[in-house]
Amino acid sequence: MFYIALALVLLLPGYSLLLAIFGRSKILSSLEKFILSFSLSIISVDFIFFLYPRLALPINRLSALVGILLFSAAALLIYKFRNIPSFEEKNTENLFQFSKIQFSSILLLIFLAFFIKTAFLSQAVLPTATDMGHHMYWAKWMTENQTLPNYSGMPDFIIGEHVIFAVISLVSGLSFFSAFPVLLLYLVNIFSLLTIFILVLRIFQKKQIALLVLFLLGTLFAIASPQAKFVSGGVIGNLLGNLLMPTVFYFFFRFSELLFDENQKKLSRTFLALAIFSVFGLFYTHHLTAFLFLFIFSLALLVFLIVNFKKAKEILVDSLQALFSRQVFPVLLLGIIFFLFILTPNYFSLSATQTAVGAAVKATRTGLDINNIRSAVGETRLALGAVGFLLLLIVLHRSKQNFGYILISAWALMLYIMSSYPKLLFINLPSSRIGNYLIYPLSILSAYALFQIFQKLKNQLTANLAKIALGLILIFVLREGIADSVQAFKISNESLELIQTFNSSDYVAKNLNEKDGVLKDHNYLTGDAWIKLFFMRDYKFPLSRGYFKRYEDPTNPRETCTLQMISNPGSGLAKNCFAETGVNFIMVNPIFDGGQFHRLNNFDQVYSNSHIVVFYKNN
Amino acid sequence: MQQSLKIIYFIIALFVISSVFLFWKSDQGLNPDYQKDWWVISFQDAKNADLSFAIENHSANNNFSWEIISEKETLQKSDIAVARGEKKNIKIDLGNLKNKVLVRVSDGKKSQEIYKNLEE
Repeated sequence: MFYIALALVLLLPGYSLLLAIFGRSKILSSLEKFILSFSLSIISVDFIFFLYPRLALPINRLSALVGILLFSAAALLIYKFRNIPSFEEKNTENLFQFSKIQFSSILLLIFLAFFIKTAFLSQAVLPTATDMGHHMYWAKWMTENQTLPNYSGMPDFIIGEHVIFAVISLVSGLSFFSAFPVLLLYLVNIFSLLTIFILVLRIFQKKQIALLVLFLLGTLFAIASPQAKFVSGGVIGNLLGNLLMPTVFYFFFRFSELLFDENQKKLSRTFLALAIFSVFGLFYTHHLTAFLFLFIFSLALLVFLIVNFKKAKEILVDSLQALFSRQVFPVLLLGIIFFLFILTPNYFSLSATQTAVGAAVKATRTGLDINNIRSAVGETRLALGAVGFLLLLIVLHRSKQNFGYILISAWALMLYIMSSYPKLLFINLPSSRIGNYLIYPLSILSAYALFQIFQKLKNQLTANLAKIALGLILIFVLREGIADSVQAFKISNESLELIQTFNSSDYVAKNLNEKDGVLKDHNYLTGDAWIKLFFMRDYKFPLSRGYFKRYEDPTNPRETCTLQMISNPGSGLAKNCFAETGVNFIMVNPIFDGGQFHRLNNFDQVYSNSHIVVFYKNN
Repeated sequence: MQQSLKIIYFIIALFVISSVFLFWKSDQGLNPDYQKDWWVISFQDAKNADLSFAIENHSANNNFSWEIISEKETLQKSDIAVARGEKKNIKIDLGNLKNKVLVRVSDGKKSQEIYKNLEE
């Protein structure tokens, strides 16, 4: 059922949409249609389910299937009965015709990407990650309450992060306590890699560069953040953002590519419509990526207008005309209607904007130094990326009209500025989180640099010497990339601790009534963020004693009840806290936190395994 | 067959193989009995004065001994066999108990305790 659900939810809607738009034309190769179908399906499914609460429809297995099938059937009917405009596009097949060596290399690199990631995930597939636990609460909430959550007061959660998980669970019938959430993110990661592959192929029109990207991003550093590590960690927003942002770039590039061609206006506008559609999808999925996209795209647009100064007016007029054309405007209008009247993302408020913009309030937001960036993206990738950036700037004067070159450069440059010098842009966001995004554009620039260096060497040396030089560089890159992956494999098996956490949660859930309150510890329990999925009472239920350092953070003063009730349960302060919060079940590690409860006679130890004990406050 | 199609089928095949493997690994990890050695004791009712308790066994050892202790005095004790993957309830019916009453269970190597502080 899992595979049928994947095909229905993450392939059919997007593929039908592409068929309705392009028919069977060769504007997109089969590989592109397959890859783009994934992103477009995610966005389409989001929009379908945004309508359900407005139409007073419950979200359950039947309604989910009906909604997706209706959407896909409508798109297929359009494909069948509408006269698909005959786009006069050059046949793209050549770009997707690979030599035997190239084809074998693609298969090998894809195989290695899967192999390395699967090997890593085999040790990290269990539902232990904190972020994943938080996200899966909301996805499960949707399946149980049959509607969309409103996340009141929690702007860090965005609806697009949860819809596909809820729908896949509904359609497949799979439990959230299984491998499926990780597998879904794994698929997102693989498709973001493939999206980069087709983006690079389109922009540079060089298969070798696309292959090198696959090597640098898919095979090397396949585990480091933001890839397989983020998959196992459940960093959903970042992973989806890294899928949707290249998708948006792909469509904008295809639009820009045809912008100056009078005969291709219709086609370029179709791509713009898809770009706008994807932008809305991005804004409904991850605020940080959407925020970064705005900065990157603004810089790219500005540079594009500056370098094409003589044509700036024409570009602006053509773009505006395209924006208000019959292909694009309905999409724009629909997106705005959804945003304003159907479902406004909860982060879309003044307070959320104020927390992201302004002077940095924490040391973690004041910018990364070069050492931080080097450790985040890898030394060689940073060096090669910098070379690639400079080489791209050099060729820019010859390829002024290639928006793709500018886009890739702006992507890397803006992320570098935002992560290293946030003060310049008045940004108040965690610098390391932005730094993680650098890996994608730097891998592209590194691939470009490697290709150009090899070309230059080939012209100056013999072909064999050039190959040897390239081989040496690749070995150097390989050493660092593999070392990074090997480091990440050192994971301890937490299966026993996790099972005991779940067993104790099940016990507490069975003994709980409406008036009871639960407090658990986050410091010493494995998979504790998933405990809330046993209760499904509220996102903040059970209460949690967080990391100790958080109680001492002067920039973010927080309540100390959760700390006192476990660390010092007999104190007057703790007694007041118990009275205020109604906590009467406490789940802690017996070695680190059992002692303070044993000394008190108003706590019964009602459950015990080797990893967790449960105390019940008896008066 | 077109190269693009071959790549698509290859990706699908790799994902199917990877996901089957990862589902299998996750099922093993979430199986309380697979290569794990642990057991649990808990009161059947956490809230009242009832001392009836349960032993849930996920270890290779099937033989447990238990005792009820109050003020350093053993009030009741017995042995019980609990097979791997099994949960057995033990009914305790002792009246007029006060203060801390302890249930201690041992598998011969390790022991665990639960207790209730009964009202005086």
